Amino acid sequence: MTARPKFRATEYVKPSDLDEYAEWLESEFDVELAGLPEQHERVASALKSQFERSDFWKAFCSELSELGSAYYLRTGGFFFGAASDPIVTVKDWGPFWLKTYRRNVLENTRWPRPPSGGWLLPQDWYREITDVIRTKVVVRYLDGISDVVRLIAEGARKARHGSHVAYQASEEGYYAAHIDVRRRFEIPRADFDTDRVSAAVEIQVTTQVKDVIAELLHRYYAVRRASAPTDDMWQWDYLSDGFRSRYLGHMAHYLEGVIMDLRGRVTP
Amino acid sequence: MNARVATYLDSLGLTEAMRFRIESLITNYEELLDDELGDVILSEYISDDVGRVFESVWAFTDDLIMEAPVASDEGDQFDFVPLRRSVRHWVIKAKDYRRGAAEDTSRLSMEVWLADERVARLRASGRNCDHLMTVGRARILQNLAPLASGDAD
Repeated sequence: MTARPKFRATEYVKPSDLDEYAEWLESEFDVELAGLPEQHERVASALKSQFERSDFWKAFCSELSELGSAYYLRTGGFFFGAASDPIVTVKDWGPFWLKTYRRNVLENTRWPRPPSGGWLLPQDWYREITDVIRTKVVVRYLDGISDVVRLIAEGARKARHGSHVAYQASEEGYYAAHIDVRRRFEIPRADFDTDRVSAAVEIQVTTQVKDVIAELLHRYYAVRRASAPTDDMWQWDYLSDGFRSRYLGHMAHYLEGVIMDLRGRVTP
Repeated sequence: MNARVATYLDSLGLTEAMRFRIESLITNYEELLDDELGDVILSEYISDDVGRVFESVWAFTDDLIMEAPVASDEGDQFDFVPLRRSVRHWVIKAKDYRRGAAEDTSRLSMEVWLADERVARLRASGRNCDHLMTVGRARILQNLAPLASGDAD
């Protein structure tokens, strides 16, 4: 029996689904899928618990409450659009694995060469994927987003963590601020030792209206994420889900801007 | 502000901004009355949308019931109404609440109908229900007209 030849990316057919992607990773980089989901759960759990115990997170939750109180006392209105403190969640293995597939294959316009920044391989996963741990702050009005962003940036500076802010505005109709707060974590290795890695926690800041729409559209986007990007003219396909969902996002953002303008005119 | 009121405020887990505001309202009352307040209750409720909402500071002396809204968007307002023997109708509504054994899910509200058809509405959630009931028994029950002693209004 002859050994299966090693493929090189230059000759390998582009994987068309996650099974083929797993095969390609093993052939090309000796990455075995077995054990990776369990290892991911261990790492994600370690990241989450260390972040939740951090001084930065405790101070941030307290500052958020203060921000809400001060706003209420000043205006009689509510700053936040959600009843509870933000909850830290972890990206499960399925979406995480899909994300590496999207980065290496689906969105890699340079295939068979590596995407810009190089192949995304297990040794770099937790440094490069910035939303393994994430949380969301929901404010009531559009202008509350920048207040929370400032709070996060200031908190990160005090804690000597890195931070990067991106105000998202996509063609998909998605609008939100994403702040990556980067710090050192100790994560378990497969051999039961630990590594110290630089990893980011993603804090999304959005409005109540945008959050409702995002939840409604979550299933639609989940299906799209598993497919290769297309250049269809969705703007003219008015009977499609893409037409409705994207314009819903854009219109909601526009209306929230108009509400801010109105509020500014009626509030002395 | 007496020690009992301070201990009560400690129990509410207020933010710094909220604590400062409540203490400032209490101080204003005490300066206006030139005396310490007897009892204070913070009326609040739990909103599904935004969580715990603090509405008003209710304050009591032997003779008066007073209310000051917590939010200051329309400026400060300090209300004073006679209390002695003035309670005509007292309505208590409770959910998941047993006196002295409030839990996180407990809710308690009171409507206090006073002379001249004035009505005071006080609400509490969680442990604050016990405090509302204690203040209600001490200040409202004692001034239900048929039960109350002292000079009639």
